[in-house]
Amino acid sequence: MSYNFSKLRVLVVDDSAPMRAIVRTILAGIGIEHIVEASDGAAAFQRLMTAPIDLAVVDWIMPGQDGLSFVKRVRTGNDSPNPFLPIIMVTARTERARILEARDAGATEFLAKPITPAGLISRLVEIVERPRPFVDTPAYFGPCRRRRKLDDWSGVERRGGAAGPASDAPARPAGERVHVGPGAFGGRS
Amino acid sequence: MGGSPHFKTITPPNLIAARVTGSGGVDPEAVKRAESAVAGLKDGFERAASEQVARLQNLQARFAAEAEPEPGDTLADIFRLAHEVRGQAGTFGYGLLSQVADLLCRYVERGDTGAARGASVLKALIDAMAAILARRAQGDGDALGRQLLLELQHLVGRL
Repeated sequence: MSYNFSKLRVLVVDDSAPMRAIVRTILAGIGIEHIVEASDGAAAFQRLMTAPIDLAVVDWIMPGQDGLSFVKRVRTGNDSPNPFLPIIMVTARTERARILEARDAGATEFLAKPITPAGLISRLVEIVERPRPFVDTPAYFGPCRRRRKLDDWSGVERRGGAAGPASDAPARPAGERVHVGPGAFGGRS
Repeated sequence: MGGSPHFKTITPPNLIAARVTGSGGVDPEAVKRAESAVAGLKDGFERAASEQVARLQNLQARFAAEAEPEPGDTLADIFRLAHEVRGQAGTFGYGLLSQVADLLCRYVERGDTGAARGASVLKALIDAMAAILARRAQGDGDALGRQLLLELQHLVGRL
């Protein structure tokens, strides 16, 4: 039987009402009934404080508190009601530096605009099927940034094998190159 | 939890999975319903985008007329409208429009919009957006569209 998403409670955060409508329409199309909206990060955080939310879909660029600030506040704010909340970060900018910035803020998934039903649904399924452990270091708290095990990788395993998430995540040496492609953070689209 | 005192891994409860029933996969019919519902928003997007581009043209004219004051508010409004079009256009099949709007956003972000050249670059980008919408030119554009994009990229310069 296919997934039934109807009980999910999703928070959609975007200053653009039409963009929120696009996301809401996609989510409603796959059966999600409980969708709440906010127009900036501060309002979104208030929503989190007052209503149970399972997932947030957040635009990056917004006036006031933007998506990046929202993610950081959810992950590390003293008043955060759920530091483990899955967050899909949406943005029109997909340069490597931007993706790294979202990743390092603690976003769970990254979704490049244009938003499509297939793209958004694939991120949702990823979150359901492949939850990431969280990493807590002095410099970072958030989903493990080394989630993906490349099944077709034929090179030398330099990270201690696949003994589990912990072996997957020690702080990387300074200057180490990090592959950030669609498969490394955010999956496919 | 595990790891050193300076590094811990935590496996939080997968609350979201607990609220999703079923054995896996997404019902293809549900995806089709979502796609169809999004397509139903297209007319509204075209109307809204046309209005937004008209507002961009007015803002550009205001920007060009501003002598030497702080044009920050006008540019912020231009960015906000262009960002709006950039974000939605691709969803509704207007890839070329999205790319031109992206150029406009990046040009404003770059911050060298000063002097007369800035106004003319803004005008070229916004007029291109207006022309794309007037022709309902969807997709990434035909040969003419690709040529237009190349010329606009050249005009804007390295971003």
